[in-house]
Amino acid sequence: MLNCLSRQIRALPFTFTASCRLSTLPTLENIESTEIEEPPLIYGGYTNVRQAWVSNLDTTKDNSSAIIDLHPQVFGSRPRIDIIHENVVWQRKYRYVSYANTKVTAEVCMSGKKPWPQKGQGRARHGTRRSPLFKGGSVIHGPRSHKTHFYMLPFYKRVYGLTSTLSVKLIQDDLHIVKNLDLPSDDPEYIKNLVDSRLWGPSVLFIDDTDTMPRNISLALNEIKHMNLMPVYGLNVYSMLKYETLVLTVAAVKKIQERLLYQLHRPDCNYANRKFQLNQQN
Amino acid sequence: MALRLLIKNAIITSGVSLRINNSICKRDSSYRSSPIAQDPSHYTKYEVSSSPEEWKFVERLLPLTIIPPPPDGKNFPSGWQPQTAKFGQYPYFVHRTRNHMLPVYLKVSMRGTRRITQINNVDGDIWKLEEALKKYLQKVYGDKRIIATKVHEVCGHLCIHGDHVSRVNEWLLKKGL
Repeated sequence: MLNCLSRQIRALPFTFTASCRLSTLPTLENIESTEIEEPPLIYGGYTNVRQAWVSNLDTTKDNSSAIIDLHPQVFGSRPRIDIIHENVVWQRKYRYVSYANTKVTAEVCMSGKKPWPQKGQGRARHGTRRSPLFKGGSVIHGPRSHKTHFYMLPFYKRVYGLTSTLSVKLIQDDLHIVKNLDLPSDDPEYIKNLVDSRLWGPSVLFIDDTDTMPRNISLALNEIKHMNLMPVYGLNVYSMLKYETLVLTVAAVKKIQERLLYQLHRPDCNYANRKFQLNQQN
Repeated sequence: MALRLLIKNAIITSGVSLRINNSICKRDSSYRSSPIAQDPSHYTKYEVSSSPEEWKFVERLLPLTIIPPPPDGKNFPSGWQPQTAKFGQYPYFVHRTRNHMLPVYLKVSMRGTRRITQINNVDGDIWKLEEALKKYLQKVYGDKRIIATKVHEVCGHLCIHGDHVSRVNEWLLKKGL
């Protein structure tokens, strides 16, 4: 165990560490405090740097020999469950178009003839059968045309949605990190057995930093409907919650951290958070 | 418009000064009314340099990609104070925002009748912070005033009923947070 720990990789040179408030990391020399208040409490692990084992997909058995450090602002943030929910609602709505529609009186396909004479029948007066009073007639205040429900969530709600979901996944032990996605064979049974033996959720989402995935895993996952592959740029809250287990490669972790930390510490955040325009480039 | 175009064409062909054109096209100027760019010899002279000494000054002008760490020092003209407390000094900790400011906000709602002081980015034991702040505010306002608080432990938010932003800021700065 100690040997493993000693070989832990510091593979992630956090380019942003200098300025990313590393006050989150407790320093040993400050433990002895002159205050009367009680000694520090590493509360629920949130304040500590998060760590995870780096496992492999070459063998069914898990031989993880390295530990990766995860940035607390990305993988150990305080989860905003309300923001996660807002993200899910947004992702369902922005692509939803309601096609419900009804006809007004003029559009109903029916004869325009007066149904019966105005007087003498003892019946109510009517000028057309298309009217909403008749069966098969028009609809009053019904839905018209197609309605899009597109809207954009504020930029930083999307960023915090990602950090919150990643943190929740990690703390629930639903986030695993692998060296790469290389499999020895393209047999779907192999990856099914691997997932079963490691007690990963039935549905698994594999995320790599590129969108050209290795051949074997692509062919194997093509046969399995509840496992999927995704590049880092496709990472989103809805999919992370849809699949029970999230498997990231080390390169993907590095890229996610870099991108999210940049967004969390960029000086022109007002520009990022401006009103969304349809022809927006970035 | 026709007159302007005529004059512009005349100017371009003859190469006379553009002063007349500019004096005419002011209010409703468009891309058609602006003069066509000419080769660089007509404009300010420049020379291309590849000296790294001079590049430093260009770099100084480029926008930052990340908010830099706060400057060292104590007394700044703006009154801003750096965070001196280290994590672990107190059972709780309040992280500064990305701009190194205190994360204390006043939330006004109910048409300005409800004022709530909210402290974000609370790390560690938020209940200890609540206790300490409550004690301080009680001392400031006297025992008669009720300091109602709300603790959101998962998100690390602490809300205090009433507008106590400057008091809370003072207290946090005194603690070095």
